[in-house]
Amino acid sequence: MLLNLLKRDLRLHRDALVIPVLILILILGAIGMADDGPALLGLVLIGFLYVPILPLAIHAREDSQGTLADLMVLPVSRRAVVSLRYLEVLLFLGLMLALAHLGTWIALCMAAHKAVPFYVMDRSKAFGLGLTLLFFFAYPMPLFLRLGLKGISLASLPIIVIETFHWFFFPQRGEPFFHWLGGYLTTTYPGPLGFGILALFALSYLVSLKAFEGKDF
Amino acid sequence: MTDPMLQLEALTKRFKDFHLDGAGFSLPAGNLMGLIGPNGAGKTTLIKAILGLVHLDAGQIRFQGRDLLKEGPELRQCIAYVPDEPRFSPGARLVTLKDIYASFFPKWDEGGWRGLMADFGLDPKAKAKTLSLGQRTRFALTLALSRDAELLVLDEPTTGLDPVFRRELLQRLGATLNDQRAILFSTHITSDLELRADLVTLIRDGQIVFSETQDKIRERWGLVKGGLELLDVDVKAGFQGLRTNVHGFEALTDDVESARRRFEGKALVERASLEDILVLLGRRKTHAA
Repeated sequence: MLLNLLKRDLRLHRDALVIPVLILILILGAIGMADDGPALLGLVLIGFLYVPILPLAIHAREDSQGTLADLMVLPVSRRAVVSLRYLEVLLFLGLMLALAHLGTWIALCMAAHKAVPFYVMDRSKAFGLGLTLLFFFAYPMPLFLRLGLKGISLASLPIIVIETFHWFFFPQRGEPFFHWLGGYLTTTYPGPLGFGILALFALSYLVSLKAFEGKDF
Repeated sequence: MTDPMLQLEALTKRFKDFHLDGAGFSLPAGNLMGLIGPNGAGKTTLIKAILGLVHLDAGQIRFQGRDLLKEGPELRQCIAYVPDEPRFSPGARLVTLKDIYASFFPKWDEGGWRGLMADFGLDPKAKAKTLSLGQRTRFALTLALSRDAELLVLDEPTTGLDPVFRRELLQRLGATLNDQRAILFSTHITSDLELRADLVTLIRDGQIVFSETQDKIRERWGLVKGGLELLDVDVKAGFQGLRTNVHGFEALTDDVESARRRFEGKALVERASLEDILVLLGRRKTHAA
């Protein structure tokens, strides 16, 4: 059933894959042009930032088109629909990680042959970025599934409040709170941070199941 | 005794400004049931509850004796639905939408679908965004009718359709009925039901007023027409709905035989059509006030 739903999304939302495919082409192009790092890294980052947005965008589009209700009258459980969104984010994250690794691997090969001084993206950084993106997907997802785009606004509210508070009381840090916190935790407690984000992802899935179960269409 | 195809018991759902209040009815296999009621009466909420689109505060829905609320995803294999305003991904071609839809139903009848598309004048290669409301409804009907569903739930499917196609559709629906199948058909166009419905359920203010065969409705409900001098407080209280003008009154009674005895020689008492019942019941609140 999950496979049927995934195929459905791939066929109905083919255009949502335009940006990732474009990024893939640009990455390959940049590698081909022996780019020395920043431009390629920028493209990979944009690709990664698209990870949490893609399933959210597909769901929001279905909601606004009114086709989400039609999906719910198929012989499909709500659990399957929620699982689909989480599966999509993991699949797409996996794809982007694979791409970053491929870029790194190609770069290392080229560097070994002294073809170009190549930087691309450190593997551990890519993984850390992936975990951070899982957080940005997992945190608003239950509210989004229950309330739609209003849920995203609600989820952003505490972030805005915290950032404003941080900027007001700790101007000396000179960076946004979550950037500072991420940097601090990554350098001080990298292991617990990783497990924490994965635990949050799992918790978010369970809460999303509950939130979506109670939604009226 | 066999279980009815669909049985709703004491369905309750509270919204901010509307309550579905203990609604229930029974739809046996082989029957077409018309669901009528004024706007906002609860028809769509009732249908959405059957399809699991709204969560009930209380009540039970059984499909062929099985709990539809618990086994919804599995039982929806046997339930086809056409909403009042079908929506499809605008950029997708109809054939793509059909392929996706059919992949969820193992008993899909591809030949039947192609036949229906031709009969309904639809091009499988057309994109959904080019379709009018009537065409979208026709397309939704082709999907619903091609999957051998045992229960067909239609939420005002004739609204965007022309009279010729409406008549044709009702004939087609009648032809699909058999001992293994039932149809629940919500509509405002009561004449459609008088032509074909076996049972009629009327819902008003979230409550079921009646759910009976057309014969019983004709036996029970009547229209009383007479002069204003006949109207006093007691007489008014006995009516289910009342409309007056300078020439006289027109009232709805749910006991046509008593009304005949009471108004013999003084007023005209005749059978009420479904439209009379719908219109005059809608005026009950005004009358009561």
